[in-house]
Formats: sequence, structure tokens, C-alpha cells
Amino acid sequence: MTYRSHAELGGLPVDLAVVPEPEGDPFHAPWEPRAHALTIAMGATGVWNLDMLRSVRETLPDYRQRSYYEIWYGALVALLERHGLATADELTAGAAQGPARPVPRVLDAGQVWPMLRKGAPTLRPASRSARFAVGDRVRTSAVPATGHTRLPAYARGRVGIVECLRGAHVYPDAHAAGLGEAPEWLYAVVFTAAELWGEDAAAGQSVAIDLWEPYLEPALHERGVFTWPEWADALGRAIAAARGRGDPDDGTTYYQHWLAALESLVAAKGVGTERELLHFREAWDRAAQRTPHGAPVALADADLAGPG
Amino acid sequence: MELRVRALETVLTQKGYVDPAALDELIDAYQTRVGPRNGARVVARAWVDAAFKDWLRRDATAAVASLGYQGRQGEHLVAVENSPGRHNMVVCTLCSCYPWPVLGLPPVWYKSTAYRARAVRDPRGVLADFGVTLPESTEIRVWDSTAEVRYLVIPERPPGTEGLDEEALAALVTRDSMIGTGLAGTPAP
Repeated sequence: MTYRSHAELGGLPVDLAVVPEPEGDPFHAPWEPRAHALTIAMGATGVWNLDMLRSVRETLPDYRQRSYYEIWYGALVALLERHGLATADELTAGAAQGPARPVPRVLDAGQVWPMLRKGAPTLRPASRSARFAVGDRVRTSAVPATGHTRLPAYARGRVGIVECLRGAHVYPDAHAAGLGEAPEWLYAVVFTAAELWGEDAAAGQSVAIDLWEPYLEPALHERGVFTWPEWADALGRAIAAARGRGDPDDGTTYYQHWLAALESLVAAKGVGTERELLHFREAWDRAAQRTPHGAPVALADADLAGPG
Repeated sequence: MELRVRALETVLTQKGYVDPAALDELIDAYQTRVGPRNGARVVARAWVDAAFKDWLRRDATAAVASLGYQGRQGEHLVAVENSPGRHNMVVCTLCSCYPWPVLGLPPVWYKSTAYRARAVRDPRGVLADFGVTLPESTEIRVWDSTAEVRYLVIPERPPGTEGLDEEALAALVTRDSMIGTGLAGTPAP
């Protein structure tokens, strides 16, 4: 199933002015602070997490027709109905018509300020060392999102430079999907305007984006490991070889050809031997075999050691 | 919307999921306790105290907490400093992430399609909408708040403010200057 976020606004060619606003009350109608407070109070029950909430907001079909707090209201109603906490009839009638469902917690007035002061930090101990270091060139995933993610569409398939490491943080893609916190390393990655918007973009402009490690791959071409003609040649040979083996050649196996081409170049250039690649592929196989369905697969020393 | 939110509140209260007194506390907190004057005090302190500014740039979460501001939507703060050669601007293209403990809740424009679409692509055009023109030689760095890291811009201290105390300096620090769509004000002549 495809996932459609309507919140991907970065870089859209809109011809709209930004309208400044004086400092003062952040709310513009009496219902807005109440919708805001209701969202926080219901969040405190612990029935859903912030990433699930963001996912519901960004997939509201009429997201772009709603005002900001109308989005908040819509997502809260959707979650209440999804979790059986309230029905559409009840919300229309403005009266409870059935019993309440038990919730883990109910926020009381005395807990409000301490809860706000405490917040919900997302920094977690790292379970392994970071894959990238400051200054590394990385390429973001170009694969379209299949669920909630925080890799913006405008920065997919782009090359940037790691500016700093921010520690391991709760991984929103897993957290929103109900797969737990699954912490991953977070990096601030800087992209030039030319990389994001094309060569005619203004010089001297850059965008820094906080990105989790699974969104990133080493940018091998940009490291000068191979040239584009070499890549085109390797990909052509991989596709021809696959056709010779009866590949359907309908586009569904395209990235398998990329992988085959990349493997051949990595071996040919001495970045890694075919034997090393096989070793790691088998290690990942073992890791996948022992990992329960739904949990992120991670490589352990035992996987690398060999068949157990 | 007024009636729909009222209906929602009634149902959630009747079912016991929400304590009406807690709602009142939440509304009060975001209308009176947090707002951009908090951030202005942080910036003014950084302008007068080099050691504090150094701390702010290394560990903004701790430095800001030392002035009493911390918590929700500011759990992991990063301060980015403007200089004559470098201007910083903050956006959240995917939703509306904003450093609540220091700036309060975001203004409407921060959450608008226009700002979220254009800030990353055309920051100078956005600055023009705010009446701000920077020298061509100034680099512009836009920070897209895609994670739980929240950014606070430290604007440049305006000229002619050498004799001002922290409180007077804080009055020059606008909300927009801490997002990067404005500059700090100059003192009245």
C-alpha cells in the first residue's frame, strides 16, 4: 500500500507571500487553545505516541485545506475513533453514549507544569557505533516512503555532508508504525542549494536537515571510487546478464541490477572483495533469520563470526 | 469549529479521559508562561556574557535550562549564531516543529504553506517578505527541523547597544530574529 503524506511542502513552487504577524497571542480563535490543550491531554494518556500523531495528521486527505489547528482537531478525532475511545456519533451529539475505555493514565492539573517542564527527550544510548563521521559524504535514500518518515521528499536521493552527530534518537519511522523506539544515529547533514534545486540555484545557500542513519548511504561515486561512465557500463552489463537469465525486464527488478552493478564495482575497485561481500551478505542472512518479524534487523558479532 | 471542539471536550471529559482543571492549566501555560520573551532573555544573556554564549553554542539545552526554560518541544535545543558572513533561518517543512520553551507556540506564518515551501528554496525571497535584505556575500543556512532537535537563532547584537543592560537588550530581541526571518531591533534614538 502506498503511503501518502500531504505535509511534504518543502520546495514546492508556490507563489504565495509569507505574511508576518506581530508577537502576542499565538491563538486566533477561542477554540484553538482548547484543541491544543485537548491534544496534549489526550497524548498524556499514553494511548499513542507523537510519531503516530504526526502520521495521522499528515495523512488527513484534506490536510492542505485545513487550518493548522483544524489539522490538530482532525487527527485527534481520527485517533479517538481508531482506538475506540469515542465514536463519531458521540462527537456529533456532544455527549458520551457508551462506557469509557480504560486508558493508561489521566493527566491531572497538578501534573501539567511538571510534565511540560520534563518534556519527552528522544536521545537514547547507542547500541552500536555510528556509521558516518563528520565530513562524510552521504546520499539520502531515493526510495519513496512506505510509511511515516522524516526524510523530506525534496531531499531524497541527494548528496550532502555530515556536519555533526546528534546521538542516537528514537527512530520515528519505527515508532510511528508501533515497532517501538528502535533508536538510530541522528546526523545533521548539509546540502547545497545547487544539490537540492539545480545548478541555477543561488550560491551561498545551504539547508541542514536532521536525518537518521537508515536514510543514508555512503556516497561512493562522490568519494571518487568510480566514475559515471564506469557506473553506466557496470549497470548495462548487470542488466544484460540478468536478461540472459530470463529477468522480466519490466522495471520491478531495476534496483536489483543497481545492487549487482555496485557489487561488481566494489569488487573491481578493491573497496571490498567478492568474498567479503559474501561474508557480510551471509552475516545479514543470519541476523535476519534470528530476528523476530517486525523488529529491526541488526548485525551482531555472532552473525559475522559464521554459522552458529 | 467552536461547537465541534466544545462537543469533543464534553465527550472526553464525560468519559474521564481528560480532567477539565488540567485543560485550564495547559491553556494558561501556553498563553502566559511560555513565549518569545523567554528566548529574548537567553539571547540578551549571550550578548553580554561570552562564557554563557560559549555554553549556549556547545549545549543549548543545559545553558537555556540554567535560566529556567526547558521541557516539551525543547528537549534537545541547538543555538545557531548569526554573524556578518552567515545568516541562519529555521523552518519545519514537514509540520511545525518549533522551540516552545524559548519561543512559545509558532505564529501562523511559520506553519503556513508559503513559509514551509519557500524557506528551504528561496530564503532571500522569504526575508524580503519580512522587509529584510542581506548583503549578497552573506551565506544563508536554513535548518529544517525534521527531528526532535529544536533550533534557536542567536541574532547579531545591533550596533550602538554597548551601554544597554540585559533587560534593555532583551527588548530588542524580536521573535522573528530568533527564527531568522528578522534582525534584532535597534534602540530608539
